[in-house]
Amino acid sequence: MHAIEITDIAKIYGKGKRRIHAVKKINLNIEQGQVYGLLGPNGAGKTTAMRMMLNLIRPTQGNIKIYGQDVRQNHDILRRVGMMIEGASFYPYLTGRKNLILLARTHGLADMKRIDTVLEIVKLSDRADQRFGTYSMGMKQRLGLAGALLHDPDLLILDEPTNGLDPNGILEMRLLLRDLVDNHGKTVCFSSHTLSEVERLCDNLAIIHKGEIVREGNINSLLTEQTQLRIKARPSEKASAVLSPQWHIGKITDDGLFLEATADDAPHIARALVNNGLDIYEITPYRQSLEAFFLDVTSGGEQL
Amino acid sequence: MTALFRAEWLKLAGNRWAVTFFVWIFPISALFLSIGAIVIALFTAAGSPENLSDMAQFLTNWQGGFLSAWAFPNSDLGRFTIIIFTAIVFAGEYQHGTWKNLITRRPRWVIMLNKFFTLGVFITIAFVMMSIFVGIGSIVLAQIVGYNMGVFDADTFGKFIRDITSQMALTLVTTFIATGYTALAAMYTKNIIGTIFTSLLITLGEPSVLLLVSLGRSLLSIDLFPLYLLTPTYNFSNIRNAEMGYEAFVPLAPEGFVPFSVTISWLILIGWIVFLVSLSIRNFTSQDITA
Repeated sequence: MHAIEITDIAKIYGKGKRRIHAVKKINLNIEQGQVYGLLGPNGAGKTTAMRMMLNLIRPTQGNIKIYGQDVRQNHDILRRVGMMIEGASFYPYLTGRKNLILLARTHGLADMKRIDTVLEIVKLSDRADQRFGTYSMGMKQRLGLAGALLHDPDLLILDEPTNGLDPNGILEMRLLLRDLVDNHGKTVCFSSHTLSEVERLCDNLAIIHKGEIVREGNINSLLTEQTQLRIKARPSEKASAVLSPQWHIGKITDDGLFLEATADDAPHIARALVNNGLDIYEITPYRQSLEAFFLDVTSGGEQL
Repeated sequence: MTALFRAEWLKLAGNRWAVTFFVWIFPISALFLSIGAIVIALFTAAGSPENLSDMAQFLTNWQGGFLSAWAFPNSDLGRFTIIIFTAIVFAGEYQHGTWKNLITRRPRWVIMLNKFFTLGVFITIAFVMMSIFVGIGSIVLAQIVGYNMGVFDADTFGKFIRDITSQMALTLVTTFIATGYTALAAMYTKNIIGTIFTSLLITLGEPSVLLLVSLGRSLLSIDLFPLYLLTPTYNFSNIRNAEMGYEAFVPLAPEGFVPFSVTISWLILIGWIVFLVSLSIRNFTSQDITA
């Protein structure tokens, strides 16, 4: 059974000329026991999609199942989900601890010791009795994560969880989420526009752009599916002219010529270059960075 | 459900600034006014006891203090105070972005109903405390000034219970109606200031239905008077007039107009509460929570 199963969801805000397609059409299946990343530029529709997963907003069409249960028909299934959407939101006049007590009571949790446990996990025990309103951004995020973990959920849906955290905090968050998945069998679905974070943390990812999923799959497979070869041959302009009829030339830089081809193409390329009197210095497979991949699939060059 | 009630209670009581200035202000003021009056009476008794009789003019029978306290929340100032607090309670969830924490843990209708219930209990406790402070304060004051507050027997006590129950019910019903307006206003404005202005406009502007009645008659020759009879304003004053034994004056009433019975007016007021709470729940359950 999938942790999350999304079928044809779309969300349209407004009517007539003010109509906005926040999410156009998303289909997604997230297996249990993995870290799944939703990657996309600001305004791509990541948060809207996550809000629909949590039944905070109603899809204009389509449906969402969590552990096989429709979230709109069976609200109780959300009790297996911990969430943090668009930052941590708590009552500023209550202390961190009281905010967690309030959440525990709302959830119907009997074990109040769990509050100390989660405060320990997010390293906030020392500041738990200070008012939330006095917390720094990083502390607020930590409390948000504590709130999400409070009822020991099976699935965590986290929207930009590392926002506002310092480098140590980001590392700790990454280790914590990996630990929850690898050693406790949890599933994490998180969104981010920070490429390095997604690359380091995720098993699988979906790239959302303009309300649609433009790529989805295992992160390693995605990055190697468009393998490029880097060719250093002299003169490079002539090399480009020789190869371009057969292979797509990506770019020509001081480092060489980049073309879309697999390692199996390398002998053919070498032969073609030699036959045309060119000197070859190097032919190497080149794995795209996530950044380059992301910029490619989101129509090249949009700012993150 | 107890846990949910306690969660809401923690939230209400934890907002100390708001709760002190807009809810506890009622019993605190009553307590300080009572203590102040008692202290003044004690000084007067020690210095110039002949002036004590001047203080007696503020006293009625022993029931008076307990009953009079319930009138204050129905005044414009009392209602204004309650509206501000209710706006903080409902619109605060939008402003702080905290709805999402609650409605992912319990169904929305449960959360909303619990909010109304807890708020009702909270406000009732404040009003009851105020009534007790004023009542006991006036009895002590009467002892000091030597004022006879009347007999305390089973008949008087029975009548007192009936009167105070009716007074409490009337105050709570009108408070709940104002709360319902405020909850709805919060859903649309999603901020505290906007909610306060909107609900004040509705609550205080409600009697202006009479203006519509007047305009309807003079400009369009349509009788909109039955519309006014459905308003909380008319039914509230109808009940109060009946209880005090006054001849009800109903502005713009057509000739031969017969006021509603007290029972009908009660039913209409209760109907308003059910309508406003149901509408709040219905709107909330279908609302997109984007904050």
